[in-house]
Amino acid sequence: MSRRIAVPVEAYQGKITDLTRECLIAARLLAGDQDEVVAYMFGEIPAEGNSVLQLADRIITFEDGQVGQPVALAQAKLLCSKLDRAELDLVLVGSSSWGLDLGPLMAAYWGVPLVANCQWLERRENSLWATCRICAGKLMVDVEVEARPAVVLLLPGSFLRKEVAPRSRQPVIERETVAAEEWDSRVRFQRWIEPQREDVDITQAEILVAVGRGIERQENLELAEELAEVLGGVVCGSRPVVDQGWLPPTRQVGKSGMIVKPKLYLALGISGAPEHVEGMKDADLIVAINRDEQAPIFHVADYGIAADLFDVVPALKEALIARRQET
Amino acid sequence: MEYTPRRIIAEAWSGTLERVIRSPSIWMCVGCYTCSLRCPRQIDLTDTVWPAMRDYALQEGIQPPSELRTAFQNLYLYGNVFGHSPRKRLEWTRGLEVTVRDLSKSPEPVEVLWLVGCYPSYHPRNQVVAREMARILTALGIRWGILGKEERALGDCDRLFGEEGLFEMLVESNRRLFERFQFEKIVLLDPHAFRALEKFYPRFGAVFPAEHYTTFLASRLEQLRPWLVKRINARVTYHDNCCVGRRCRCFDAPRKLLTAIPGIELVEMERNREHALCCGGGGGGMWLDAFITQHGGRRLSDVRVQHALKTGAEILAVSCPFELSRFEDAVKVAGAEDRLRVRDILELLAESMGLSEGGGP
Amino acid sequence: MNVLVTVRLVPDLVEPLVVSPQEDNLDWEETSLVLNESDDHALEEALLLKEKHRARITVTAFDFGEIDQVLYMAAAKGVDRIIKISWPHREPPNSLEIVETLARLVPALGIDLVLMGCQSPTEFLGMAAPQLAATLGWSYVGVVRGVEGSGRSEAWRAFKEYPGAILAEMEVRLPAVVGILTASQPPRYVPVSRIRAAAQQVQFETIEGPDELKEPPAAIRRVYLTPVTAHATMLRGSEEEVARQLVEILLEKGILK
Repeated sequence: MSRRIAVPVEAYQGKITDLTRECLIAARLLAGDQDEVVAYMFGEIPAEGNSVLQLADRIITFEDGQVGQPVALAQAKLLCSKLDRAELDLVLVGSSSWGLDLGPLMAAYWGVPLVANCQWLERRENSLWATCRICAGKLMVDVEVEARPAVVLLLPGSFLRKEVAPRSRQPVIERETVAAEEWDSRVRFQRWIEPQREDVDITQAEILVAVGRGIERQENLELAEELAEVLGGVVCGSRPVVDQGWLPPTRQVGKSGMIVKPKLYLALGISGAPEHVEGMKDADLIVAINRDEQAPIFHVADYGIAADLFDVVPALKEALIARRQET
Repeated sequence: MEYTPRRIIAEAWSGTLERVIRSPSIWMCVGCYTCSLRCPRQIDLTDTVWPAMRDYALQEGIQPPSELRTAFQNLYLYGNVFGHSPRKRLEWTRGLEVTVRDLSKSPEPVEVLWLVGCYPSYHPRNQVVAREMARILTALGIRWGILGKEERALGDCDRLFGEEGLFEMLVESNRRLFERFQFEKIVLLDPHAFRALEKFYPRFGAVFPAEHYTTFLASRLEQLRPWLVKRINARVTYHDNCCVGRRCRCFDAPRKLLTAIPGIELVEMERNREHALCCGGGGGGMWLDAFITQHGGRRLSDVRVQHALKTGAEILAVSCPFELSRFEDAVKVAGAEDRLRVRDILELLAESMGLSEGGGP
Repeated sequence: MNVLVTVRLVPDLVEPLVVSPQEDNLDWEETSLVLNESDDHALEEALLLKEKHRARITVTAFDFGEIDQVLYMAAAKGVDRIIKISWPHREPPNSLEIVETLARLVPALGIDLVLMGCQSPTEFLGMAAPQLAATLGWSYVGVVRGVEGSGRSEAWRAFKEYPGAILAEMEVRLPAVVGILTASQPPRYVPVSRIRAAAQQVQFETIEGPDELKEPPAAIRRVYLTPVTAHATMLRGSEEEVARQLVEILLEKGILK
């Protein structure tokens, strides 16, 4: 029997997100040739970058009224009323700020299983097997889901580079109407608030010197600034450093901060929690300095130094200056 | 510092302490005891007025600087200011060639219960010093033991910072902990912890004989002397730490240890003994340099290193865990790394005894 | 307005995690617990609402681990009522068990707004905050940094975090559950002496928790520590040596000219 895999599409800043792309790839791999992948688009399909929707068999758009606004409550209610549970196998949502509202709400409205923090998903016979990654990435749980439908919140990374055979047919696009009373307006989107931009955009920097909790005190930032200067780079930080107010939010690298792809990411005293790693793992070269040889950052870094940054950073600065003077 | 001790007392007289507790001044005291020393009425200002001001502020809901908050939180949860796991307290012993008696695992009577301290347990620069202490105690044939993963901070820092409640909590749990073991004396590397144990713990009924390592080793100088075989040809100046020095008036013991080392020429800084200038680490200062400089204070360690450089000494000897990193930073700031090295007395002793692991950084 | 805050104890990630020998759970006996960070922020946000809008705060928690210390801390910070939910089991309640109990409790208490951490490190077969909202049929916004009154008593403003340090201002009609990620200001410090004083004075109310554990909605087949896959090439030696090695690498890769 053909089953349906639903992928609610997230568009952010006018583009379909990478995480939605991963969900579509995962859906396609799970669906194979027998099952149907249906993408649900709130608002119009964005003009740019929509080729990823080719992975779906059908695209259903909801374009009336405020349906395109990022209100997970109303969108979850809408999907729950419009989707036919009987044929539904799975709802695959990205574990983004929006998805973290949408997915659990849907699962609870229907009373069906939610699988959050899902790093990997596969079918084995009649069951769905998911691997969840929890406790700041330190613990894994394999679960077997029998009940259907299930709602899965997918973490980024696992499906991004998976190969999927191109579809032979274009997806069918259907527009569904949404009557005013079908839209739960108890939560309403008002506006986007941009942070106050200072002069540095860390997403454009080629060299980033990142500081984490290991920098210990605000005054030690100076050390990082000096090194950044010698390297011709910019200082940024992980969440704890920004939460303390030692760096502005625009310098935060991570899940809810900035995603950066510099040539060099030098991580000083950063442990490597998944939310941070999400923001920098695509840097060309990652070098980490951390006293703790067990720190998870060393699984992401290309080169690592398990030593006290307060010893290594000054030595590095000296070595760079010496090199500069030689050439 | 807007509110000096004199002004605080004046404000107290005129009933306007409210102003004082809201000013950053109360967080700028580094616990150097100079005001206590100079008070013509011999009021112990450092141990009374400042903690009381800070405690009052905290009770009124005034938030301490964020770094201090984190330090308190870490002390509360993990028994050390760093927020490191108590299970990692023994990492400094890794690869150590002498026997470490972990009394928490196998209790036995010992002569010396050595409370290693948070910095020597966790901080790499200080871990070197801990290892030298272990070697020296063993070489002297002293039966010593440590508390391993059960050791916690003694809490002098939070007492001074105004967290009286946290201090009480630590006193209670430490007292129950120490009472489980048999020892003749507690020896400590940290002068602040020594001070807490000697002066404040008895007020809570926790009475344990305690000594700072300088007086302990100085009292065994005759035993130690034959071991000091290697010459260290250097001009050395000693920085008197505030707790053991000015507060407890113990100036000779560290000097006796240093002059016993062959080759050492001891020179004095202009401000020495009870007039020594604090390194700025006590009273929360270790965590508040940014705060202090933001409010117009100087880094005292920078000034002190200039005093040391003036003597022409090649080594600045210290006996307090905070001082090692503070002075080494200050030496770097002064650009004087090729002229002045900072070493703990234990490192110098171990080197002269031929026990040292590598001569320091 | 009546605000409910639920606080949970979660594994302390400073310590290494220990898995049970049967690989079906954490070894809870060996696991140190701390207050869930986003719940701490939810409490702070509630205290700010108390200060600005005279909200009445009720804190609730399941009786697991040393939850009393957390509740004394909440009392010391000035909450109005504390309700402990009995829980005589050897592992903490999962999200569905939390939702079931709170869904009964909330209507009985006349609550307008529930503030909870929007995430907790051990959630995987449920997420308590949004699922409580759904079960109650209430409004929900999660991943929120800050809640404000908007002048109209039924509608409040929640600031939802998005990537790039961007916030979405959302209008939320009460009654609502708001999933807090961070509070508008860091959780306030309360001195230990106040916590100890609270321990002497405060009374908790207790209510019955569920009698039986709920079957999880999916079968947990294996719990294990994240395996180490890739690892960085470690540079070793004195700090001068590693600095030199690193400079060479940077030159090789063309990052330094």
